This record gives sequence, structure tokens and C-alpha cells, in this order.
Amino acid sequence: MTGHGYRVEINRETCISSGRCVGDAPGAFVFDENELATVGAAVTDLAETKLLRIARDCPGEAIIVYGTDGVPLQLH
Amino acid sequence: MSDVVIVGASLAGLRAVESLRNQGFDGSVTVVGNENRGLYDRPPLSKKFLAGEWDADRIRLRKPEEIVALRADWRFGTTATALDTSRRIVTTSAGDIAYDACIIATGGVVRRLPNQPTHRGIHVLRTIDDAEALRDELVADKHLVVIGAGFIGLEAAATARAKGCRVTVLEGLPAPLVRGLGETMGRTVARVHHDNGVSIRCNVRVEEILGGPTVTGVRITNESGDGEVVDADTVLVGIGVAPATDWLADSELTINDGIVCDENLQCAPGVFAAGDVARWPNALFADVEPTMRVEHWTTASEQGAHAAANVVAQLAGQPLAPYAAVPFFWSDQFTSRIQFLGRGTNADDVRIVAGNPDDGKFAAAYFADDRLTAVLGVSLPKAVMPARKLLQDRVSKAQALAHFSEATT
Repeated sequence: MTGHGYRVEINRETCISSGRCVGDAPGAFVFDENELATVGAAVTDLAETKLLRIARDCPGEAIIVYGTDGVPLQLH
Repeated sequence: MSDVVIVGASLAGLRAVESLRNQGFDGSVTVVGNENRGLYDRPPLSKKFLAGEWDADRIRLRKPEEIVALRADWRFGTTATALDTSRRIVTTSAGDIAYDACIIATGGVVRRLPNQPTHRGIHVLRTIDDAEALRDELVADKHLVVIGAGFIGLEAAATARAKGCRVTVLEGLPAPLVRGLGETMGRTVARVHHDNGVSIRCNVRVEEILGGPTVTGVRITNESGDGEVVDADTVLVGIGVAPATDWLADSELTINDGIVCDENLQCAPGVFAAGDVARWPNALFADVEPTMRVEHWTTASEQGAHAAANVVAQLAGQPLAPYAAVPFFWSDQFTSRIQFLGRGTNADDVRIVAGNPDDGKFAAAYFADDRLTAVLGVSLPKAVMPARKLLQDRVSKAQALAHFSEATT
């Protein structure tokens, strides 16, 4: 069973393109034509644990995960 | 069923295990690691972990359930002592392990000064144990002396300064960060330290660390060539790491500042290397640097995964894939977010191509032999990262300058 129901966004102002998310979950996160990370289609298939860990570990703190109430989760 | 042994239980080793399983490898995986603190992330050791803002749990590389799902045999606190490539055996402090394929990801061993004493208050910074010991001494108004103005030393200096310590950095070369950024940009990037009250003294030679049983200072030959004693409550020796290859001295592998690999990261039949220990020909930079060894986080991550993919390919009788990539690292120092793409060591021309160093936000391009070899960015990520494509395409200086002038207008 996978999936988490969260909406995920990437802040393009703070993404440093470390590749952590892209390397850890290819397809869920991908580099766009500017080499900044962006959310891919497979993000909905990520296990909740893994999604939250990847978001928390982003060195640019650029991955924003919105709870079902529309408020970003406090990850950092 | 095949057996894979991974020597090194840090980032590259972990990524190798994950890559094996992601590709459906169903054999046994044994991971040997000489530390006994589990899998943790090193970049925070000089930043938020050293500051005491994050604890050991916060820098764990994976959740416990993710580790379990990898079905690997993790042997922490076990040191590899020899490799027999003809019999395919790794010898460890806890016995021999046979392999069909082996990935070496032993990382780096922190360098110490010749005759470095063992007085209380003298530190190095590579492991979580090192970071905990240093962290406990970063107390307001104490004087930290950092020997070596490289990235780790300067990150630790910034962290200590933010904790209220007085901080002096001693560097033998004419500028900070020379090895990574070159002299001009090293000096420019380090301005943020001066602005925040860290004293960086270049062109000084460290003669001796003084004290006993507790450190009291560092005797140097100063900028003017005179003898001087710099008082210290704590000393951090931050002079880099050496590839952890001593245990391979009697093996058939070729060691030359790292394990010499081919373009596929293979160093002997069935043996691959990844991360800080690997020296390999990077096709994207072969013209300026025939082989390279890279100590960056992203390289360890990518090479661990890549080496494992090649292991799977080889076991299946498929062709191997070369690892060619643009090296990348980042560093946080005070308010500066530093990013670096490519290789700057052999540059013969460096130019600011966006922003202004006086504002603390800029990008610089590095050129060697009339082509772009690196891009540095300080707090300007959107200007830097598109350059990855330029570096992959090995564009000329003229093409690169045209790109940057277009991007900034």
C-alpha cells in the first residue's frame, strides 16, 4: 500500500538542485529544463514515511508538503 | 544466487544497497562499516548538528523501516582489512566474507598534522563522534582556532561563531578555499567570514600545537615571517581527508590517491569503487583532468547507485555503463549558500557572470583552455543550475559567456 494524500510543491527560489530528492525517488522528483527539482507524476505513489523523510532532508528546505487542511507541515 | 559485499556503511554504501534492490537484485547483500553509529548524514556535522540544533536521530539517513526493507546484513563496527580479488574474499576484523561482486565505498580518513599531539581540546571533524566532542566545546567567548581554511573548517568556523565563540582560522595558502574555488573566488567567498567577525589568517605556517594535558595555543610563523603564539581554548585540525585505502595495500588494486578505476567505476573483475575513494576518468572533463577523485556528497550518492547498477549488469552478463557527471557541491556559511558545479582547479580564467560579490549574491564562471569547466554561485541558485547543461555539453568560453549575458539581461 503506497500513497499519502499530501500535496507537494517545490520552492524554486530555495531549491539548490542537490539532487537528493531526484536521486532518492526518481519519477517522484525530476529535474526540469533549468536543472531545478520539480514534482513528478510518481510523487503520489511515494510512501508517506519516505516522502516526509525526503522533504525533511532537503538541504534547501525547498520541498513543501501540505496537509489535508492545506497548511504546510512543519518538517524542519 | 549471488552475494554482494559492500565495504563502507555510509552514503555511497547505502545508495549501493538501495540501487541493488531497486533493480531487483535478490541475492545476499552484506555491508561492512567500521563505525558503530549506524547510517548518518555527514554534511550537518559541521553545520546544524555541530550547532546543537539537530540531534543524532535527525541526521539518520533512513527510517528504521526503510532499512529493514532493504534486507541487507549490516555489520557495523567491523573493519575491512584486506581484499583478495582472485579468490574474491574480503577479510574483516570479524572474519572473511566471500563475494561474487564487491563495491568499495570506504570514504576518507581524516588527515592529521605530522606529530599532532593528543592534548585535550584538539579535534578533527569527520565522524559523528568527532562532531559531538567538538560541539561540547563550542561555548560563548571561548577561542576556537581552526587549522585549514577549507570548506569543513570554514563551516565549523561559521557554526562556532554563531554560537558566540571567538574564531581564528589559520591557512598556509594565500587564500581560503583555494583547493575548491581557486585564489580569487576563495577570497571573495570568504568575505562573509570577515563580515561576521571570523579572523582568517592566510600565508601562515603552523609549527606546533601547544599545551598538555589541555591545549593552550598554536605556535605559527606568521604572515610577516615572525614566530607567534595564537592562544586557543579549542583547536580544530581541518586539513582534509585522505582516501581510505590503507587496507588495500596488499591487494591487486592500483592505488594512486584513491582506487584507480575504469570509466565504469570498476577496479578489478567484479570489484567497483564509489565515493571519496574512487579515482576514475570522467569523460566530461577528460581534456582538463584525465582522472579525478571527488569528495562531494552527490558524487558519493550517485556513484554508489551507479556502481551497484553495473554490478547487476555484470552479474546478468550485460554491458557496463560509464559514470560521467558534472561534480556538484553546496556549502552553507553564515548567510551564504554556496553552490559549485564542475571543476575549478585548472582554470586559467574566472569571471563574474551574474550578480555582484558586494551584494553577497553572484555567479562566476571558470574557464580552462577556452572552455567552461565550472560555475560557482553564492546565494543565486537560479543562475547556477542551468549551467549544468552547459558543462555536460562542454561548451566553449564564447558560448558560455553568450548564455550568461542572455540570462542576466
